[in-house]
Amino acid sequence: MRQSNGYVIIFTAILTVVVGGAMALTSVALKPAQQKSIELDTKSQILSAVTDVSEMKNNEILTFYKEHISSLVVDVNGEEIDDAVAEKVNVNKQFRKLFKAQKQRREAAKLTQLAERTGDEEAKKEAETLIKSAEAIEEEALFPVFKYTEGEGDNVDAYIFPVYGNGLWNNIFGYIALENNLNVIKGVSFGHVGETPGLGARITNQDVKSRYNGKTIFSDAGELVSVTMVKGEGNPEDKLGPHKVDGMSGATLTANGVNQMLEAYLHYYLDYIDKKKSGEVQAAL
Amino acid sequence: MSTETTEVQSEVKKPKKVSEPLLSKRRKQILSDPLNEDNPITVQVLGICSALAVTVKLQPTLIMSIAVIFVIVFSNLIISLMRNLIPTRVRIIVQLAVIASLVTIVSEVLKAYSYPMYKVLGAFVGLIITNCIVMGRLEAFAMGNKPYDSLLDGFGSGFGYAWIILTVAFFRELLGSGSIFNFKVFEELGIAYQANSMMVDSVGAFIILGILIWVQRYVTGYVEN
Repeated sequence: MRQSNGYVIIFTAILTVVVGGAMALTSVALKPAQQKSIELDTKSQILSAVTDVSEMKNNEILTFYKEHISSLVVDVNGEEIDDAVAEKVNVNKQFRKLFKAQKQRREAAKLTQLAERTGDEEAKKEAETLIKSAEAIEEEALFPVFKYTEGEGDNVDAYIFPVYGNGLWNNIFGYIALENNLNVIKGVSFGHVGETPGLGARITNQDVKSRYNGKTIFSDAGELVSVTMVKGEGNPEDKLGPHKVDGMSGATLTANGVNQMLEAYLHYYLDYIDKKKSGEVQAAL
Repeated sequence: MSTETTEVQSEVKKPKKVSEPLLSKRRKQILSDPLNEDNPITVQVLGICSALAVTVKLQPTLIMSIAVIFVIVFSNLIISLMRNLIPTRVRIIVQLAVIASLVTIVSEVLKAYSYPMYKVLGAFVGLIITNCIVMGRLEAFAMGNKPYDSLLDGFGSGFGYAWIILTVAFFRELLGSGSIFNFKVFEELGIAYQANSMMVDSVGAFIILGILIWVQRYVTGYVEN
């Protein structure tokens, strides 16, 4: 059966309208439920950095979050930004911009090295412009901070910072919770988009995450050193020390991504951490 | 005058036409063939990509099976209902549009009501569109058969796909993660088991699928011409 061109065009036009209408209807009808489940997912991820939420029901997570978490947004200099809501900040979008800055900084570091070796003035200038543009990107970025209060009152028991980075295959992300001295890690929660199941995907497992608990991000001299996951698994705890955690065998590249992610974001929050620390010292005096 | 005659004719015709029983032998065959003798994965060797990709654990595999069954049944039904209207020259596009719409609905529903599963399966659910089984059934069956038969064919092919990937997932999760539906079997039994990470990789799925095809062809005596 051979239909005329007119029939084919009319048929496809009607099909397009019907299918498009159905899609639009589904999208609109399901949007509230989708937003709710995304919100629930984010909140349970934030909470899982400081407490175990696996046994909690959906409503319990939401009320627990409301009662125990307060949030604010800061910029890279640690100044609070008033007109931003921490829960609404898209960390993924922020990361994509910051990743550009990270690349520029790496490039700049290479160029500076080259300039030092050869005395090349142009490379030095190029490095400076790269650093400037990286700084400009960082100035504009938003960094949410979540404060966790365990009991009643205003005492902050933990600061939770979102982190974002690249794993082996795709993005990795998570939350790092610091005790109120802003040095000891209270807990972490990690997620990933497409790491290898059973290997890199293990960063979401409780036994891997709990390796970070109790580690410190500052050296004794007060310098930010971050925490790195080493290569290989089964390293004895006393050999690792306070700034290293045991690795995941077969997933060194994912671990490298985690290390880079933590180091980059802890540096972004460094000014805020410093300010909080000095503020606390003043309050204590 | 003319309307009266047609009415009379149809009245005469009615008792003569014996309708086929809801589950006649032919229809039972439509339903059962894809489960074993004409299985889409092991005999037709279609839809291998998703059989390798989603079968690391049983739970996502089950969701994936349900999604595929839903898509294949409804796309079969819809295409069969409008099979006489579809212009032959653009039939593939029409089929794709129907499949893609159904897949989008599944994906959106998953995102709304089972977000953790959506995060695991998101990309693969989208790839049902390119699953050759769905396309193959539409082109080979639904375009030339009545809606009810097509519905049965959809169920048959859907379940034929589902039981194979669930079997593969069962062995992969058991051997690769030492669990069944996230229930740690070996730990509960007190057996020390070193998880085999090859089973977690796609290689493991290939091997299990190969063994499955071998066993099935040995049993049914199927030989490729």
